[in-house]
Amino acid sequence: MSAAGLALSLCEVGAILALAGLGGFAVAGAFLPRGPAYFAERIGWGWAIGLLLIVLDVVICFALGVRPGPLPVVLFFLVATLISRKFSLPLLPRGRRGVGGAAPRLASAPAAAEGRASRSERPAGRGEGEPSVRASLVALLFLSLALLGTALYLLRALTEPIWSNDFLAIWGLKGKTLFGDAGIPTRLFDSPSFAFSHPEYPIGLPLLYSGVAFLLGRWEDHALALLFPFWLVATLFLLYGWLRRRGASRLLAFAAVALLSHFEQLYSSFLTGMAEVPISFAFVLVGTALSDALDRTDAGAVRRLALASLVASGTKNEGLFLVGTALALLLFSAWRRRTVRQDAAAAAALFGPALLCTGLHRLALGNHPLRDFDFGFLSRPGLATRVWETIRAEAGLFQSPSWLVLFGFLALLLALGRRARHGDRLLVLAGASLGAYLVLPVFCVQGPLWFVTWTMGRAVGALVPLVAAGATARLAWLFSVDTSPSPAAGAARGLPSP
Amino acid sequence: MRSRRILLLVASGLFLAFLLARAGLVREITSRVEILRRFGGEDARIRRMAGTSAAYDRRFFEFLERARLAVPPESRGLALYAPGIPEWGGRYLAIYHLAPLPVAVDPERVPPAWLAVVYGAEPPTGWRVLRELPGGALLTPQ
Repeated sequence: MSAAGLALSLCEVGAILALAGLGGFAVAGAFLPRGPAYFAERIGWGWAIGLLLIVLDVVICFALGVRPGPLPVVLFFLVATLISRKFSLPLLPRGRRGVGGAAPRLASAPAAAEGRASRSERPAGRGEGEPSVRASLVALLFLSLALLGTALYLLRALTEPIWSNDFLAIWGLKGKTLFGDAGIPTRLFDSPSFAFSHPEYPIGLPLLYSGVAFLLGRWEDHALALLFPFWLVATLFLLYGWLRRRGASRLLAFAAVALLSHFEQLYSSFLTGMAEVPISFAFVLVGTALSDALDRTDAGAVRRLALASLVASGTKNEGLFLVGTALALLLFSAWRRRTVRQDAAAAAALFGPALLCTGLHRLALGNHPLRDFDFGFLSRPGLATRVWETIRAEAGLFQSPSWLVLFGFLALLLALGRRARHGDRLLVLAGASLGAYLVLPVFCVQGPLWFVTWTMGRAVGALVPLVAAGATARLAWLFSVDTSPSPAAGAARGLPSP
Repeated sequence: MRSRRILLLVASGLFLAFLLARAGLVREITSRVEILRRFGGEDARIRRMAGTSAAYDRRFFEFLERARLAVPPESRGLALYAPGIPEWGGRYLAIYHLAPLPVAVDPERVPPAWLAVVYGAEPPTGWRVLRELPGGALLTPQ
């Protein structure tokens, strides 16, 4: 392949991904109300839907014994668009933020109050209404920084063919094999020769990689990396849109986006091809949809929750864990608020797709235990040594300047922020995952040091976009002129009543 | 309120500066652009060979590519004997590069209709050389 070949491959893959995003954007009308308040988020959700449709197309074609390709996927997108139109959500009038306004029947009193507060207060907030020249310049600066961060990740991701070990050994190997065999060969899941490629992992990513290859007509592991900057951009749109809709000023939302785009511990050349970037995107999908569903912001929140659960469960086991945590949080919240019946649909939306995903995997590909962990260490001698090894290894990892600065900055954000239920939930989800990751090395078959050295950093890094959303949501009050919010305004920002 | 905003702004600026400084921005951009300039025009396999995944032993990747081209289409799989090549840095790359052809590393028993490749070592007993490759050979059962 010549220079023109690489450029052409990049254009082809770029076009495939852009079209998938556009198709997903059309289908997203069934998941988010239309209107400017949801536009940025709809781009993010549209990207998720577009990729999911490519994956579903591959699965259905494999099941029917048809080779996936452009024609089946176009038909599939058309059918999905037609179906979504039947279930599309109403247009949200300009100026409405969708908090309690889009679905009056679903909106609870606090949520409705939040909607009123949002409408009445937001124009008074800094950076709202008629933005000053200075605010516009600062917004432009933040936007430029976000563009720079995205461009840098684009360069990192596309410098060379995807090279990370886990891509070669797990995600890329499976994807290339699915593409080459035009099916799911059982050897990947039952042959001891392929045990290293983790047959227990969800196969959403390999299906996606093969789906892009089927559309392209060849396996192209250099241009395929373009997926990853697209994931970053989708995460940024999602973050910006959700923060804006949930009360953050434009400048604050832009600042969060600008900072996240430069988080090289996640958006790195090494992690390109691996599951951390897509799962971090899925985490934000689950977190924001859960928060919206609990606040009953709009009629699409529960649908989004189901979609997010499917994406997260199908991407990585950490996604399944986060869905489980989200379900626990939802049930706890429902029990405390005595809204178990009202929240049953949301619980089903979380539980059903995750069950479907793991159930299908087990039925079709077999039941595989977690290869890296053995919880039998709990009852064996030497547990205390393992715990001590874990603590030492984690202390060694997290005392590096990059982690210390990140944790310090996060601590400052949390100190400056105020309680905001919609943001706090995201932090609870991230905190539960972090807690689990900190304990897991104790049970690692290859030893705590191995897990901490090779996995811990990237697993924790994947939580950062979710934390960014939660922590920024708590800062919204700082950028509001009204420093002594009324109870309704407090409810709008998730503040406790005085 | 104002002081908190200023504190947040300053902290965010410092954090961003740290992120950018940590990446060694100018050096990184220069280096990556140079790699793209040098290899962007090359064949996909050359780009792979020049890249990080083949850095442990670039001759091994050349061997793999020659082996891939030499394997007859009717072959059902490949046994790989490359004792000097570690899992991370070579064996996984080999399995990936040869996919979808199944590859087993140092198998105790080789399935029927499979061939073998050996790199950096003598061919195991019971095999004869089908094709000499750089640094090794493609083998068939005797």
